[in-house]
Amino acid sequence: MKLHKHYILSICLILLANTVFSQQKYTISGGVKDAKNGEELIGASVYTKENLTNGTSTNAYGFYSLTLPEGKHTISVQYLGYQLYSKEVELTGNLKLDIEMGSSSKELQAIEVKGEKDNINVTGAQMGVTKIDINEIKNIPVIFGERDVLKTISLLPGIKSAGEGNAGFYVRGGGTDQNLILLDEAPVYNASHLLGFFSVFNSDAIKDLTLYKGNMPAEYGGRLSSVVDIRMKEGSQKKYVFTGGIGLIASRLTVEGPIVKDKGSFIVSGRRTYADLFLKLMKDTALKKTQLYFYDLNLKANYRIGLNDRIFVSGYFGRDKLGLSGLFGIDYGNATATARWNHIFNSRLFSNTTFIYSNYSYKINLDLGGSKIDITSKVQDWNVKEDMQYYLNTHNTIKFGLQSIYHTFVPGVITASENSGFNSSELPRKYAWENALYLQHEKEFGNLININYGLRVSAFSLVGPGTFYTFSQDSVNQGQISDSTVLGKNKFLQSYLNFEPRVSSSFILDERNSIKASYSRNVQNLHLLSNSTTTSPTDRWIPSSNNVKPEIADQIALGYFSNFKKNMFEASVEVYYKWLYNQVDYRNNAQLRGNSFIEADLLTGKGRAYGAEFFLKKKTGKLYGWVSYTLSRTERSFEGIDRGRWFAAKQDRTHDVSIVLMYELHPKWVISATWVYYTGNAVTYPANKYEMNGKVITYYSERNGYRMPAYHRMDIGLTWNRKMTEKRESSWNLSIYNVYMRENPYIIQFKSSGSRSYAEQTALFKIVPTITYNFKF
Amino acid sequence: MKIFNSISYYLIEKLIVFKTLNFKLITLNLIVLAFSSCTKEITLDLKEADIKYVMEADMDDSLGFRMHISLSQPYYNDNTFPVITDAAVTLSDNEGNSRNIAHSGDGWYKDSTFKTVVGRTYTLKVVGKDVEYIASSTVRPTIGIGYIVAQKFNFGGGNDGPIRVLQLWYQDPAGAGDHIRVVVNNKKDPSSASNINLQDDRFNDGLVSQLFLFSGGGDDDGYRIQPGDTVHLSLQTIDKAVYDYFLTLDQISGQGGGFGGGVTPANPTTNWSNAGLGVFNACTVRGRYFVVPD
Repeated sequence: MKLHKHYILSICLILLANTVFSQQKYTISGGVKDAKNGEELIGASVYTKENLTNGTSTNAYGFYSLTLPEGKHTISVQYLGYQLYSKEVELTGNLKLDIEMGSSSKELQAIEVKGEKDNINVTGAQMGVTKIDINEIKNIPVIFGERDVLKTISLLPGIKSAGEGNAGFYVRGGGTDQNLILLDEAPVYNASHLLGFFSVFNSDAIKDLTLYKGNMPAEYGGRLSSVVDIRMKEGSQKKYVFTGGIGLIASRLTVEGPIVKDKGSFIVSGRRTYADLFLKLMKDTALKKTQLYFYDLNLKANYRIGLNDRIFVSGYFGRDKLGLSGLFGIDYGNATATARWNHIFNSRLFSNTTFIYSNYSYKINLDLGGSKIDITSKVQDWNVKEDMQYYLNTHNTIKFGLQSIYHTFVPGVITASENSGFNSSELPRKYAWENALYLQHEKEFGNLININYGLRVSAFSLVGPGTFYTFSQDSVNQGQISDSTVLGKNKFLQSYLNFEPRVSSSFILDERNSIKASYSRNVQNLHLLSNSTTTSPTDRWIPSSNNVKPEIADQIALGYFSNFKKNMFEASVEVYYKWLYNQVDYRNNAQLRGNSFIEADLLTGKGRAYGAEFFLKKKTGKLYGWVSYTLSRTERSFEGIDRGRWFAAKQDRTHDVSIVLMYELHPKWVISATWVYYTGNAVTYPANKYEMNGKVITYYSERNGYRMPAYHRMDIGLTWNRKMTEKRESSWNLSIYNVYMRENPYIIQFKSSGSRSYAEQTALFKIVPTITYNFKF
Repeated sequence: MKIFNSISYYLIEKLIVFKTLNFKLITLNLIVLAFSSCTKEITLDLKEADIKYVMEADMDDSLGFRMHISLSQPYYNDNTFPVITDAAVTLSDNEGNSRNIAHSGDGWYKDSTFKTVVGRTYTLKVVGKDVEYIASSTVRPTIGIGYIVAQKFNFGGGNDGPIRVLQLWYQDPAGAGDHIRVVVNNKKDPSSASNINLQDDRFNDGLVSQLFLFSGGGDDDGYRIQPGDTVHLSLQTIDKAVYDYFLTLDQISGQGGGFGGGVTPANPTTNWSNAGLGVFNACTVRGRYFVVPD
């Protein structure tokens, strides 16, 4: 506690140091938008030509605020893919300036002399951050013709795909459940469709994606490894636009337009796969009756009330339906709803109030010979958030806020028909209340040092009603019930209070080169239990409790950032080391499903992850793209597994390489290619074998003592922009997945026949060509 | 079209892996067909572990006691497992009865007169060359067979007509903590014997309960029952430790390396000390013959 007091005190001191003004200053503020459709631009650089250090960038709502001395200034705004904006202003009082920016083609960007401020990646304090521009990735080849932001981010350094047929990803050695995925601020609990082949994010409805690799600012919290902050489009404020795509197994349609021109807009975007329609054409009667599809719907509307208030309502609803001949079915999906109110108190104080609802649920139906059984489960959040941004002056921005979430966990409700031989029952529900407060300060010291530091204080409480058991941790009675408590409604069982300091800073060597360093602590109170590698809809979230402590991660990172050739190239090297505490795993042979005493089967351990990430990107010109390479190690140690020996976590991959290249053959033709290579996952193979009841059984020794063969694959794509006019756009995209037909093992099985035993690998996709037609009018 | 086949089969396969509750859905033969082009044998460099005793010991109120002892072998050796013929085996109960069991040939140790009594705890001790293993098992109150039905399902491969799956009904005694195991033998094809049909009573305590019996015990590509077949069912009432052993054995049967290499396989939890392999199962058993109707 003592340490924390000092920490808070020092924040106050630094704040005070900035309150001395020498000259009359005024504030210029407003929004930055795309001229074509009125979409706010997130993270655009706003600065003055006269003094480049007088700069800021737009927030998540496109708002900026810049405090400058009285007099003449040239306000410039820069954003990748847009023409440089410049306007001379005479500042004699506070000024409101809304800016609209026109887009530019890739070729134009190469010719144009780029503004000097296009180096925010070098100068900004934030490190371990990646932004994905949806337009930039549209030419990357994809499987099944569905652009997928979660697949694309795995091509970046430090982020590893969890494998084929899996929408999960690992960031700097963290598990797939240690990523906080936010869609318009609402957490998405299961980001995959069709058991992992697609992510739930329809790229037509997405404006912007920002990913923080563990060094997240204090405003985010709740997961150890990363934050993926996805913002939906607002919808065109200018005119009605229809966008869509027709692919081999999925199609999508988006409608957007103004509610009242330049005041409010809406967007509705839908998507459905129809692989099951093809199944209907088959002769096999069982396949005809197989259900296999998903759909999702993104909705958003916003309206500006007066000059200083704006309301946003957005929602997502997605569902997967899988069924087998009416005998077995599973239906699962997420629903999120967000209502936001932006209020500008004055030109320097921006506020956003958010109400969020998030729900992930699944339902399994079984019909076996007339016995009907339904199993339902859900995780539901009610969440309220208040975020304030105070632009003290050009060199100081303060953010503070609070958040409160009420979680409800329904692990399983079993409804059985009469005479089915099963009781209708329910696994005990759990309730938890999570609260957080944060304060964060972004400060520039001249043009030498930028620093972003803050503190997040998080509290997590498991609340009643319910009966809670304590499980013994000693080696003799491990997993046995040692105590139980019955609690009434809204009574607290166990609370955890954690301080999460975060600091990130850049030391600017010159305009093109900088060194950055950061430290952050993250705490996670929701834990995902999964006994399959791939994302399964029945994976179970559990809260921290009397038996399960909050997971904690401390990460330090150091990086060198450099831009060269007039910001045409962007390069970086980052090294990190991460300590993980209270990591959750389960005992060998734990039963995860239908288990009321799941906590008895859990083990607590520690982890460590370290690595180096290399990144080189060419942003402009006919040939553009990037190369990324990560060298890393990720290990875990659990008292109950191999006596605490450090073993490679399944996501440990020594080498991970991605190359993404796009080439404009002609303004209408773009050819693209990606190549990925990574060390095979750490796995457990048998050492010996033995015979039981005439069957050969494999015998295992050390956990994760082996490696799968290395994974590598090349995809190519060709995009033909058939029409590109102001009114109409249409394009054809041909993608070939796994073009050199590498048989990457998806599963390795150990089999026996006759007198011999052997290992057999199965590869999922040898080669998958897809054609997609995209349009916009 | 092939790709759609692959995807749908893949998904169906994934569904089957859910094994929700204690159900196990029949894997479609089609899955194998769809993947055949992408499946190949690979050679792995495997480290060898210590050779251990494998002790399959069963004891019930009908056949008495029998145990088979063999040795584990390196993975890439031939599937011949040497047997132990000179172990000192002692079986005792908590009522003071104790017997030494002699080797009766081919790795078997038998005593058909030492039968189980409900409520007693039996302790089995095996002493071999430089090794000693001990296991205990308690006999639970007997559960009887109610009746047997052959359910017809129109799973995939519908052109071959419906698939028949045996469904066993029984009365679960009131009070949680009962575990059953059913062994199915088909006279027509003894190799299709299924040993691991398990159910606890977490979801069916005190009810007239059902259990589907899948042939093949983890290997679902084998023989399936046909009308006219005579099958024999034995219902064992087993204790929790034995149940856990078979449940975890079932999870690794025919598996390994895991899906995408991630489901960490582990050795079954056993009631043998010293990490011996196999299990000592002292139980009661009820058997019945059943002729599969058309």
